[in-house]
Amino acid sequence: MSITFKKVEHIYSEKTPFSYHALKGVDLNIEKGKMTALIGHTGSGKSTLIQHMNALLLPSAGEVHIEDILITATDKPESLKPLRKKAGLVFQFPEYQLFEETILKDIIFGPKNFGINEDEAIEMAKKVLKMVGLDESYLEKSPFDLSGGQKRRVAIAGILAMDPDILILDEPTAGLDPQGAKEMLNLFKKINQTGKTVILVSHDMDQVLEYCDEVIVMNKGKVEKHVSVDELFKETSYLMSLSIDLPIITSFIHELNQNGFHIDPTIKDMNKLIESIGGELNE
Amino acid sequence: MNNMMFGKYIPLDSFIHKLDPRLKIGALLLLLISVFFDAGFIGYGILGVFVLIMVGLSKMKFSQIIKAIKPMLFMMAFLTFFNLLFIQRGNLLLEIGFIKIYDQALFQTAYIFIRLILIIVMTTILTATTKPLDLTLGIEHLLLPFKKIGFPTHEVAMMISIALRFIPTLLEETQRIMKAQASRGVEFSEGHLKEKILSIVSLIIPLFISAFQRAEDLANAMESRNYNPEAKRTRYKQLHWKLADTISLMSVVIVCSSLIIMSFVL
Repeated sequence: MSITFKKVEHIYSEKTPFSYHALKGVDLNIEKGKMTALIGHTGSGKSTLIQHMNALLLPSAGEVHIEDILITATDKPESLKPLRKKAGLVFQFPEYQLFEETILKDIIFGPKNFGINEDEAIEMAKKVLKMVGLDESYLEKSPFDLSGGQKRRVAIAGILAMDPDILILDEPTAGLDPQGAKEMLNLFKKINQTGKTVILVSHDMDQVLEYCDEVIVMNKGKVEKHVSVDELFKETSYLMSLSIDLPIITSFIHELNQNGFHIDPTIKDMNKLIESIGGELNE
Repeated sequence: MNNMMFGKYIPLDSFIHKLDPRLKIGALLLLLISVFFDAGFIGYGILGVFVLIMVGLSKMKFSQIIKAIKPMLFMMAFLTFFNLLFIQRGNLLLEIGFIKIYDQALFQTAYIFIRLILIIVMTTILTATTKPLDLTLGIEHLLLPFKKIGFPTHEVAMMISIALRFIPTLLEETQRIMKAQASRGVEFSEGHLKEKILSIVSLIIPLFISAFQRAEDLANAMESRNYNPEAKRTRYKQLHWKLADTISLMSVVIVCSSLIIMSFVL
């Protein structure tokens, strides 16, 4: 049991004319070590939900458990630092958060805030910079001299350097070129394989199909579904009713099956698909 | 930060909301001027009652007014502290070691306090009941006479409307950056001085960068649509002066002029 939400409500600007009920009784349980996608329309409550995971927002009602830490509307731990170190949150367009003179200083900013000593933090910075695909020559450069995509990598490295057990990413690949996006997702998958919990907010169903184990579908402030990826993409009509695009490969299979084929809709791999089309044609 | 009330428009349907923006701006100017005439505590009492009536007419909740004053509390505390310590006139009231408090200091401080609160509440009534766009339209109209002496009325109005337009955007941005840095272990409300300074730096630098970026984007967008500040423009929204406006203006003028007369008589 890694992350548990019990009847969590969240109302923005409560008791004002601007009040907005963003989460309406969310029950959720995300297991440790899974890579989970969070999907849903703009305004469905995804961002609100993930901000509860490191107590940037506190529930208006209900309980949030992050491993052994409990947060309720009235009760939160005295210091939020241990929680924030445990759950690393990468916001959308995180390149905005860069501010130091050098990339090295920016990456070690997080770890140092959590009390890790400077030498260790520098070692960590070198390691994570390599992970995000930049070499050590960048350490002494100014983050503001980089291209947009490189800034994104540095910003993500700044969170990875905190070595969080739970990594939460809000559309980390928005605005990146396809190659860069792929590299990023491979990196997150690799981190996930070292036993860390990864939560990925995404609008790209191809990404969800290829990289994630489970999917949470949010709609109008509620969790509508929490199922495995295979199961979700079987329910083509449900997804269409939410006007969520199918992954290219699933949509192709769907079209084929509507025209008399009987192909397993959970196939994720192009070669397998070709094989099974070939198999059916030979029958 | 989300609860920031100062300068925010509150969409309600009230008497004050419906008044002409020109009137509201003019009335605020008059009231602001009369705040600075020393009409004694009786004068401030009258003004206070008038302001309370305006709050009532605007249908704003009392909690919203309190919220608008809150951000200024620190500055007020600061002012009070220095005033009490450094104004050394009148009768000595209290002496603890080298700290001496005089009755004049007390009066002065009370004055400043009352003035600040009145100013904040009056300004909040204007911004809470007038849409930013109406506000600019009003300012532009009020500045029109100065166009004859070469004052760039439209440009100024445009600048004001852009500035107003970006207040909520920048607030949102601030909140976003604060959250991002909080995720990196920054605690904005805790820590000793050095940590506090560093946490503010981690907020201000990204904020400035994004503000400049936005300014540049906006300038490019306007230029690519061939924006010409000197071009003659027509307005979709026309202002209409109504009877309610005249009556309101008269009551404001009566209150203000009686305050000013009082300040000379007393």
